[in-house]
Amino acid sequence: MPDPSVLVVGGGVAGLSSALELARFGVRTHVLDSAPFAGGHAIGFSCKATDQCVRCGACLAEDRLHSAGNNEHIRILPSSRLQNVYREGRRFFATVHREPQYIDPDRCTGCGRCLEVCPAPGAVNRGPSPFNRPPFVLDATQCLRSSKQDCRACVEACPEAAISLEREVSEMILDADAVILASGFLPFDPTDKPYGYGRFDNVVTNLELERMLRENNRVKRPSDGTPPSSIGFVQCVGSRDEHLGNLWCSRVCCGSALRMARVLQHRDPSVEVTVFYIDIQSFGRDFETVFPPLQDAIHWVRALPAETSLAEDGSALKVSYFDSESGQPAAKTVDLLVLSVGITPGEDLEETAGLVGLKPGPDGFLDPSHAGALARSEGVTAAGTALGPMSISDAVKSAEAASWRTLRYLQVV
Amino acid sequence: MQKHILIIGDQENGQCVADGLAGGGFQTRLLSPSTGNASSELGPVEGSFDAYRVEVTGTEQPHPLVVSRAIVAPTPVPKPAFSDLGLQPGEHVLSLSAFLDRMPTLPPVPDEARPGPSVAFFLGLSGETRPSVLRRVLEVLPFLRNELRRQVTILYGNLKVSGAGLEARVRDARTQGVVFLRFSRILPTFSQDGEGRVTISCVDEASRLPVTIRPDLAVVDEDLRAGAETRRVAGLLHADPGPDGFLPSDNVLRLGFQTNRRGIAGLVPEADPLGRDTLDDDLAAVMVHMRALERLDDWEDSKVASIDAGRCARCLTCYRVCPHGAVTVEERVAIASGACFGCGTCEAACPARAISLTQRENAPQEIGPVPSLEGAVQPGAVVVFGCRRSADRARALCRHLGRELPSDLVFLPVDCAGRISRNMLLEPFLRDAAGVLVLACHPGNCHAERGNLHARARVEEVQHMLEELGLEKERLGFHTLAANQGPAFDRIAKEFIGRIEGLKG
Repeated sequence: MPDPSVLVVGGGVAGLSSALELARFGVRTHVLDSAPFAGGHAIGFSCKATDQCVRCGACLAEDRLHSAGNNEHIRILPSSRLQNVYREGRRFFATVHREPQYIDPDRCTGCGRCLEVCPAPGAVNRGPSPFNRPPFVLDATQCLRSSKQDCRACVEACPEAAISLEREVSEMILDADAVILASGFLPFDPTDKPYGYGRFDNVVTNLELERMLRENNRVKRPSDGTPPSSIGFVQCVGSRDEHLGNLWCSRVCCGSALRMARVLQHRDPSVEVTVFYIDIQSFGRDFETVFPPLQDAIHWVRALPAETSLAEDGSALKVSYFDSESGQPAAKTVDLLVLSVGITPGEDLEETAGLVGLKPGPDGFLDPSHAGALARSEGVTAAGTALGPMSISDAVKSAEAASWRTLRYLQVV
Repeated sequence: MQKHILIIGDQENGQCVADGLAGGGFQTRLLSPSTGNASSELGPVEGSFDAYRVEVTGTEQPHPLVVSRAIVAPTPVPKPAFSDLGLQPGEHVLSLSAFLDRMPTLPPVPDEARPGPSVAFFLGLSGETRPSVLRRVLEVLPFLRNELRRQVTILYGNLKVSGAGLEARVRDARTQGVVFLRFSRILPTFSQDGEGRVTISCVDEASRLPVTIRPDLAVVDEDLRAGAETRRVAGLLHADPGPDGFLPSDNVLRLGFQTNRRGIAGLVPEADPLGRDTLDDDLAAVMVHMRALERLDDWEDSKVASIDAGRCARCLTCYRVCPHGAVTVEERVAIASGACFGCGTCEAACPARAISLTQRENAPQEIGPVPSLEGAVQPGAVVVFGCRRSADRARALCRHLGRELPSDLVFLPVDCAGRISRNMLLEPFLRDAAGVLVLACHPGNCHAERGNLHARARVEEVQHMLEELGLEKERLGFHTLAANQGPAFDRIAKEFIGRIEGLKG
């Protein structure tokens, strides 16, 4: 097959890794991402090293985005959604819906002037990484022009003339010889859980905590910006949950919470950490050495909270639970409550997978038995958390496997 | 011409890997790490990528085996938790492996026997267990309960359900009458009678009632460890193992199970991305990297080191510091170009300045030169040498987040902090710089394995030199950070500048 090309659906760590692996063999890829910024969830994460690397894998996202963005074989298309796919022989023809690209990625230097001058909050958004192209994006729904006001502040401020407000939604047709579905996951939305998310300022998700640490190098209470002196982590939010039908363990949340607890206590040993859990899952090949020292550093509560209410001071959180040791209800007050939300199947996964002839399994993730077997005959394979909960390192590994199968299918190797 | 990949593994594991690779179009040779009877066993391994010379002991082969690459398929050693739990193994107390072997021969129980004999499993009561151990137990539960009519109790510390399908299986087992007893702080106590039968005394955490269990069979979990053989293989290959003893190291940048030696990969037990017990994805990841190695011109490492024989003093410093085993010592000390990762650690370490990095032919990117200080360093400046992979990107992230970088900073990116020599650290001071800061990747996160550690060691040496020159050693600093720590760059730089200013006058 001369000059084969592959369509990669999803520009997170798995999608970008697949594209990079294919690029090593001279195979071109188009990487679609429905978000305005590629990098998936992991690009919003922070390093959690103490005095040494703790193997969280967050830096891999940065690495992949940087390499993929500079690779001539890879074209990353943010704000792009797969609309339809049809096959003719062994070729795939994909209809891709693209949101308007108001900021030209080839001209934008990331100076940020547009964000500085924009009068409407949320209309100009900064990407998580300087390696996003473009690093800034306009959200038309927040722009004053969407309410018929004439504002051209960003256009006028841009020193590179990179902004044009006259762009439209577009559709493009991409053809490819194979498809890799790496569309990632949807973090569980804890609003309906009785933990106060969305009601109380100081209840955040673990993903929001990561973002906070990445952007500020510090963790602050949303209510007043002060550093918390006590933090609670609630595990298994949306996972291992029979009531919701989420009968899986999300695998990475124990490691994520404990690494976060460790780095926060490393910086400030006076920070009190409480972990509400069912079972602690292992993480990392050094788990045996990492876990025992944490035993004494953390206040462990082997129960998930019944509910959270506002403490008397109006900003701290009173977390109520049933203490099995005493057989009595109990409560713990924390300055900041972090909900370790689970990895759930992507919102559009079933629909997108259907476009390429894949079907999710009973949990809603792509049945792994499909990912391997089908690729050989049908040219479609899957990678990353679309398959199920996995860590960043594992997502890279699954992308390498998907690349191998694709290369074999394309007869490049 | 197809070159062989050596698979180092026992008959079972090794053959699985060999079959998988053959399916991928690779030619393989299987060699046992040790058979015990030394009929053909792995001996010392010399050479490097594309030409590893493997001694095979105990054969009549006069020449060593030459292979282009190698994959280690280890056999983990099960370590049953008997002694940790204070139990004597015997007829009634078995390790999980022994129980699974014995299980098909256990007599089924007649209907009338109520309650029937019971089996108690201990999972993670002394140290943590693994999803694969839980999986093996869950897999046999239907047979144990339905065919053999055993009552089953599982006593556990942390239930390791982080593998595909395990949580659902645990719930099924519960609804089908398997008793799960959880233990947090207060563990069960055991005693054994004359026949070795166990009596378990514990407090059930759910009801807080004392419980005594006398199972017919007690099954103790096993951890999977890297045995002496696995360690021996890593030693023979001069490859760095991870904290668990298996190859490769657990550096997250080690993709495709590649070790620090080019062309040598190591499979890690239980590495499957979805937590299943299959080799498929692992082998696919290995194969894509092995194939990619054939395409020299697409290597990400675009630099290669070479030694000027005229200057080389044969001190073997480069041989000792090379993290990749790329230095060969024969008539001349030379760097095997195929094995070299171009990290520059040797270039910086060589006391005779006999080593230089050059661009590989057909390499996709230009190499970053050693930064020149010409014109860049004014008196009183603060110079920052930053690793391109971490510090440079953190600096970009810092700026991207809208923070102003300190203006009195001269930032000089280097490909790897390991490439910063002692001379490079001293030179700014010779040009009246006020301070020098080295920013490297965190320990365990260096893409050249130990470049950051070499950089730290050199900084410490030069700090001593500064003191001997009458300068404060605080003028030379060292810090580690990662690419996604934007604001940390700002904080570290400002703290350092503040300290330097405190030293003036």
